[in-house]
Amino acid sequence: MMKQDIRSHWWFKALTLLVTLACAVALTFGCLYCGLHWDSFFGSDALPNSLAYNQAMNDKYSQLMEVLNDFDSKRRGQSLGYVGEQYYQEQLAALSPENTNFRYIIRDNVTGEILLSSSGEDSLENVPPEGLYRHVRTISPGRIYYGYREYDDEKNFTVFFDDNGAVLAQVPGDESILYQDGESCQYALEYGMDALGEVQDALWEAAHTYYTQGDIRLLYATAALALITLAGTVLLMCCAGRRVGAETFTLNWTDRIPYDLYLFVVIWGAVMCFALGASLVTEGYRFHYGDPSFYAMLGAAGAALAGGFALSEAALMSTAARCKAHTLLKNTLIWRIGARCWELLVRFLAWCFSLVHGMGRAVGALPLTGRVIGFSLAYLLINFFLAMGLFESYSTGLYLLLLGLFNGYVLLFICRWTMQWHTLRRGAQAIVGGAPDTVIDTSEMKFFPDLRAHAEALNDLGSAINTAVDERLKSERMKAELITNVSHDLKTPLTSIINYVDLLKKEDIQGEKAREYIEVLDRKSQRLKKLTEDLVEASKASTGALPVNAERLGVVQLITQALGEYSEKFAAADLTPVVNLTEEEVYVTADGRHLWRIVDNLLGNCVKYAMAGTRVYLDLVRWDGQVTLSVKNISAGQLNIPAEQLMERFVRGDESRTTEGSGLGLSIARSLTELQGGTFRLEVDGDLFKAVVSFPEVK
Amino acid sequence: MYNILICDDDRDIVSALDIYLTSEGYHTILTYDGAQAVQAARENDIHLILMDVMMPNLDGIRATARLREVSNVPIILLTAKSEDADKVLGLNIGADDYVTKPFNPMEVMARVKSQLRRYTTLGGRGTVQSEDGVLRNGGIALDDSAKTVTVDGEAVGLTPLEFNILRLLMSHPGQVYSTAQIYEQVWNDPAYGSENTVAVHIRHIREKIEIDPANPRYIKVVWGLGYKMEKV
Repeated sequence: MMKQDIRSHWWFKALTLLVTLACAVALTFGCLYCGLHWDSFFGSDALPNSLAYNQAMNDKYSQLMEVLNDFDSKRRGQSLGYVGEQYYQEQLAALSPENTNFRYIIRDNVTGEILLSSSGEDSLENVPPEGLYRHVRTISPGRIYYGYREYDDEKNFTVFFDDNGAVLAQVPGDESILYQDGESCQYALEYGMDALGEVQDALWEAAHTYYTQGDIRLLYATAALALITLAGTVLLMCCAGRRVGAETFTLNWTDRIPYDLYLFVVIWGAVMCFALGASLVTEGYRFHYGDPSFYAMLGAAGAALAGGFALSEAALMSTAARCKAHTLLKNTLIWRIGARCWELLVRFLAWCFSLVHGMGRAVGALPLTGRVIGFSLAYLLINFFLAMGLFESYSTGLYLLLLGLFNGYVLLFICRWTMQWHTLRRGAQAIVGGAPDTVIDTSEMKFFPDLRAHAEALNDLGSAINTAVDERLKSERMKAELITNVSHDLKTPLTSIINYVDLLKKEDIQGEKAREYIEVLDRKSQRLKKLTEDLVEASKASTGALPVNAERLGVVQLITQALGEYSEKFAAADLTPVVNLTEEEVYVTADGRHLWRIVDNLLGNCVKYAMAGTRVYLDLVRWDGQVTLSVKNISAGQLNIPAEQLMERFVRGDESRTTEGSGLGLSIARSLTELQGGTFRLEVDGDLFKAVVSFPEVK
Repeated sequence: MYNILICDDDRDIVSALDIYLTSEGYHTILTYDGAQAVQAARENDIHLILMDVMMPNLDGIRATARLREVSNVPIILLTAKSEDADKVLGLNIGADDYVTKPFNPMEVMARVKSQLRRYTTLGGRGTVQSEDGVLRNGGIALDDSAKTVTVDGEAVGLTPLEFNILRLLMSHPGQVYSTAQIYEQVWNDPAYGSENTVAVHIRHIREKIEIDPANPRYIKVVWGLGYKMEKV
């Protein structure tokens, strides 16, 4: 929001402008004057040192020399002739006190007799010191020699040479003039200016100028003018863009002209005005100084300068106004042209992009084979044309370069495609190899939409598998927990059942049937006990919730121990074990109790399900870094179940489930084997049942 | 006449145990939670305690810890948990033995008798007393000169081979002997795959000296390595 104050009024602006212009013109003349009289301000500490005085004094001295020359001639008896005599008298009259403030006394240097004098005084020293500037010289006119000289400042004498370099004379002191005959100076000169003299000659004028025009106040006034001009200019710039009643900064019609154009015109006009003013001033000084026309010309020059300053102020004001309205850069021809060009460029780029995009879509819509054929043909064609150019044109080098660049680019493209394809393949392998949470990085596949689509599909598949696996693990764990809790709760009532059945057995119960029933109860309660125990074990083993204390174990030792445990059970079941162990002990890394449980379950299976009177084969083999135990037996019942299903929980060879056993033995054995890093396999060939357990061998 | 304290929150189990123990001639005191058991143990002269682990108010483990502050009466824990960690905790806190539910009543009786014998007649502390030619470990005493073995004071009949195997194991309690080593030392023959018989003999020994041969207390099977006599 703009503040409304005096700066908005047009009369204030006009007044300020007028004052500033006047000050600027005055400043110009002031500067001119000060420049011309600079010496008067600072160049001299006293009148005799000022430039104008010295010039005037030199003129008078020259006149005096001419007089002295003529006087000397006359003294030696030479005639000056009529014209010479007339001129001598005129000069003498010009140097008289009536015509000039110049004073002089010429004496004979030897006798001291006064020969010539301007006013009859016998010494200029009698004149009051503050009124006279006196100079003293000795001179011998007409017989002087100006030659080559050299001053020796140590011995304080001057050596003069002739044109051939021969020494002419040695004179004591630092002398610049060698008098030809070596005689001493004839005349002693005393001259100066009578500062109190009333004659208005050049000397007087110099003194007058020195005392009146060299006033330092003029300089201060000029400086003040400069300050006022500067202040006025700043004020005008502050006023720029303000208008009574306007809410924001407003631009007048000049401010709307493109800035660069405006500046060009204004600066050109200002330069013209200043040039005119300068030429008027110089012309006036040179040809009309002192005339009335001189002042007229100065006035004209002032007007021209005022015009130039007005244009300059206008330019500054306009600049300020544009800055305030934020149109300084935008309202320029260059900006407008640039903006137009940029717009055209953007449109052109957009058009190019849409063209390429459209082509890409068109290509993408083609069938894959079509695309491959199209690309190959394009590749061959471009190569063909480049090769043609190579042979036909004069610029072979250029075509060679193009050919290399094109083929290099194609090769780079293929390499990148191959690398991305490799990434894809590795990702797929990782997902298949059990890391479904692998995410294939598709950020590099921007230019290969086919590969990217494939990679994204694989990523989705991986995450789907991951979720499924997680879900399954969770449900397995929950199931195992449930089974553990339930079987735990089953154990307490089961304890009572077993105990009271046992007590019943001890009671003296009459009746065959009752005792038979009690026997059934006893058997079934024992089976229930075994079932709950196996159930807990199976669920723990399958979810990996069992701790494994792995150590190095001898398998031969373990099987020997196991056979010792089972020797009587085998005998009872009428089975003959045929054991085929390795010569030496073989070792695996496993938890002894778990490994025993596996062998226990397998041998227990044999005892329960093998046909009586058959042999059970136990073979231990070392092969390919693996220790493999196989247990073979002939099943008593028909095995009409696939081997895989036998390892499922609660599946047993006999469907009637009359025999003891929980149906969990093989499941537990497999889970325990896998928990310890081994493999468990079942084979069923007719009635031949074979279980194979393998562990990696350790030395 | 021994006083046996029974403690379980399941009354049917308590009464079943009561029937078994009374029929054997013991006097029983019945309690139904840990706090009652501790109270009863203070008020009566108790010779043995059978205690459940999971009970309301004060569980078996805490009750055992409290009882151990004042008494060294034998405590047998009855537990439905079969995890090793629970057994170890129970034994560390001061219990003398444990039976996992569902238990066999005969096994409980055998353990009760064994603990009582050790507590009353053998001085209450399972010390290894080294007399001339007598090796002791826990309740087992092997007299080398008389060639007799007693378990908790009861004589056990062993064959000469079984006796020699037991003597070997008892001579270095805690050391693991492989079947081949046992065979070589007992049979005095190099072992050529006939170690199988060792395992059979060991099982026979276990059946004679252990209360529950499938869950041995003295002769432990170290699967894949051999056998050892557990230091008790």
